[in-house]
Amino acid sequence: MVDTEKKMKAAAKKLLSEGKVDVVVGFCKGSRKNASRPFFAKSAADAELLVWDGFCTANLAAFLPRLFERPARPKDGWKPPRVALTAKGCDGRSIAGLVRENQVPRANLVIIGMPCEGMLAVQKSGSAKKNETARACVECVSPEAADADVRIEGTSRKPAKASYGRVKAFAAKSAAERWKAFTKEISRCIRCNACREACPNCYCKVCFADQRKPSWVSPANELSETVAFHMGRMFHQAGRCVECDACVNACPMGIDLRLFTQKLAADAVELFGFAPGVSGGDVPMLHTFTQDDTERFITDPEEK
Amino acid sequence: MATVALDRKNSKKLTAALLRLGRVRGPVKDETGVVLGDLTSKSDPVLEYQNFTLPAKREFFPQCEAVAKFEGDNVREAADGDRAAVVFGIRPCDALALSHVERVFCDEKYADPYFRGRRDAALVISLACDKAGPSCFCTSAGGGPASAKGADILSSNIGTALLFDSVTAKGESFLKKNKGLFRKPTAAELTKREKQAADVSRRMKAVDTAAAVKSLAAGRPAAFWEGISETCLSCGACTFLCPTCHCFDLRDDIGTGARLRVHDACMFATFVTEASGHNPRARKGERMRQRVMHKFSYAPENYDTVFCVGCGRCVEACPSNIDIRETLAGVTE
Amino acid sequence: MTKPSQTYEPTIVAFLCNWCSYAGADLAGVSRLQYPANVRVIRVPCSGRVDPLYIIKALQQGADGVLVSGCHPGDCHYISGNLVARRKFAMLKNFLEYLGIEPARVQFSWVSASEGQRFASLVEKVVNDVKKLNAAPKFPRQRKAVAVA
Repeated sequence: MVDTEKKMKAAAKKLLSEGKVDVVVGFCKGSRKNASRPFFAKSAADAELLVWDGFCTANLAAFLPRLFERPARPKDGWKPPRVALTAKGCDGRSIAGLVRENQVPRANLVIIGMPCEGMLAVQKSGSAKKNETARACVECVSPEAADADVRIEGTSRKPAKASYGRVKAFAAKSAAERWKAFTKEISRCIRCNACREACPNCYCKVCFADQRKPSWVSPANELSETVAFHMGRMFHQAGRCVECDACVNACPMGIDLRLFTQKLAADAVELFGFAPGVSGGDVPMLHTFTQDDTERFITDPEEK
Repeated sequence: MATVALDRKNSKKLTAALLRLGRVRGPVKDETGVVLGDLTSKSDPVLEYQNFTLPAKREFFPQCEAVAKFEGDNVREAADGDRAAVVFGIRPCDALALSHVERVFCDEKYADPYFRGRRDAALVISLACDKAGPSCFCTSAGGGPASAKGADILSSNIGTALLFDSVTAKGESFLKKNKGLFRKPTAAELTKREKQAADVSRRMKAVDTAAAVKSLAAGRPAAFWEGISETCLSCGACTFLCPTCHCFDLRDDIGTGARLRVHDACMFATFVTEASGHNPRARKGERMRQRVMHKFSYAPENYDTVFCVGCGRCVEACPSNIDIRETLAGVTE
Repeated sequence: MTKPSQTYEPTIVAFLCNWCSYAGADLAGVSRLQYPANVRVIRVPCSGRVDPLYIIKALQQGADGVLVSGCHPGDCHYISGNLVARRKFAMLKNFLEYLGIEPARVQFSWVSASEGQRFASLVEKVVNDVKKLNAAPKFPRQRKAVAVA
């Protein structure tokens, strides 16, 4: 990875010194054990601090909607910035989604496609085993960003075949067991909203959970409200979630949200041939339809 | 009152004595690790853990608490039940934080009845640290691995025995009433305890909090705050896990007819959004500045202490690994 | 675990599109067709207007079942509202079932303005399906009822 890091830094420095971008969004060394953290390099000197290692787990696309949002009280002549981003496969899929949903102007982006061998699984305690790959990376179907402007050479993981084994195992339980498992997992939630903020898809200026007229969910940490919040937020990912595990990694309580969102990903592929950033086209899955969309779920009262 | 000792093999007797007081909150194992849960008569308290993920303030200032109940025009004070009679096993940082939060909610003139009620009902027994966490810096934040402040009793685990020191009259009363449980500690045990605390203190990297407080009093330019909050996601993990953070919101739950006090976070984008829709702290840098100033400038001004106990939870939890220690160092540059 | 109770009367919230299903329900009424009174109707302009949050909130607030009915595909008053909704509902129904909400509780159908009998049969079917399920509240409440000081 050292060679990859050198090439990446060189590419970043070139983009910055030639004035092609205002900022390179990447990673630098973290202050926690076994952590690299998001970093905005704005000069060639900054770019010297960029790193590329097995701890570059965060989904950097989460910063894009914020970077392109017109700031409160903008200085005169504010223009959307030109941003480069060191993208793994998951970052690339998220960026494709943001472009697809018109949140980010593709013309202002320079995607630096990184060769991703998979990130290391870091425990909450900070410990990490050298050859234990993070779960999201083991299951990743597209380790390289598909639409890169600059591609850094190197070896990537082989794409996994989507099998959704955990979804099938969970679905095999009885309804009562599933509801119990789901509500028990969610019961640890403290409504800190880290999952929402870390997710590149959650860019709504006012989240449904923060609306007060009407109030969909109370901010009180009352379990039925919290369950409703997660059901709503997860369903908002239908056809959009790229399975990057940013939400799982951000959650301070270690809630396994992806056990549930993965069902939506599996259904999107099975029912509509849609895997965001991988297949299915450029129109958001729920914005369109075909005449043959499934009617399996429709109740026909006259059917005997 | 002098230190007393309890042999580790008798710790179940301690649990029994605590349970006689009522509901006991203490360290229990669950599928995520060791958490602050309900001790039962069968529990031998788990003592091998660094710290609970969730801060102890939640026992006295819960995430969601009813403060009034209303039915039509009839509004009455609420009394959420299930107060703890004992809170055992919180670390000295959390106990110190408790004393800070208490000063916010209760002063000479007025005491928040909900906090006061919960605090008065509980016997707080803190447990000194036998190792430092990766992001701990309590010695730079007015505390220490064996600091007694904020607890009623300070306990220490030296392996074969637990040592107890009363801190308040309430603590002393418990130890006296149960003196049959305890014995005198040996000189070796006392030395071991001191050495343990010194070892832990030594392992922590120092942070020059005093210099940061001084520098912050003069203010820092906006560009500084924009810089350190660049990668902040405004997620609220730091504030919700912080043992000294205490900002709250009041919400009316029409369904159950209750007015609820719920935790709020200055890092949320909408924290100070006004009814007109104007948001005075729309920028991340402004929110970061508010958080750091509240803890390291306004608190020293108003309470002669920083509102940080160096527990390191914010450092561990931040998805972008923004580090308060680095911020404090940066403030003095 | 579940015994069809003689006295259990579930509450079903029904979102009906104004142009077809609501008119169909109206026709059922005008024709004096008998059907169970467990249904609480909410009229929406189009089945495409039904936000998944309506269904989630209805369940959370205590509805025993939710029914959503719109125009048949191809007949939508707004041309394609129900077609866009169809994908959403397929995903939502599978998702809710995966989380543990019995499939009989949340049902979707198409009823046109002329199908009064179909509407009556639909309500009959949904109510019977839900009656067979456990009547216990689905969403766990965490806090005990608030006592008064």
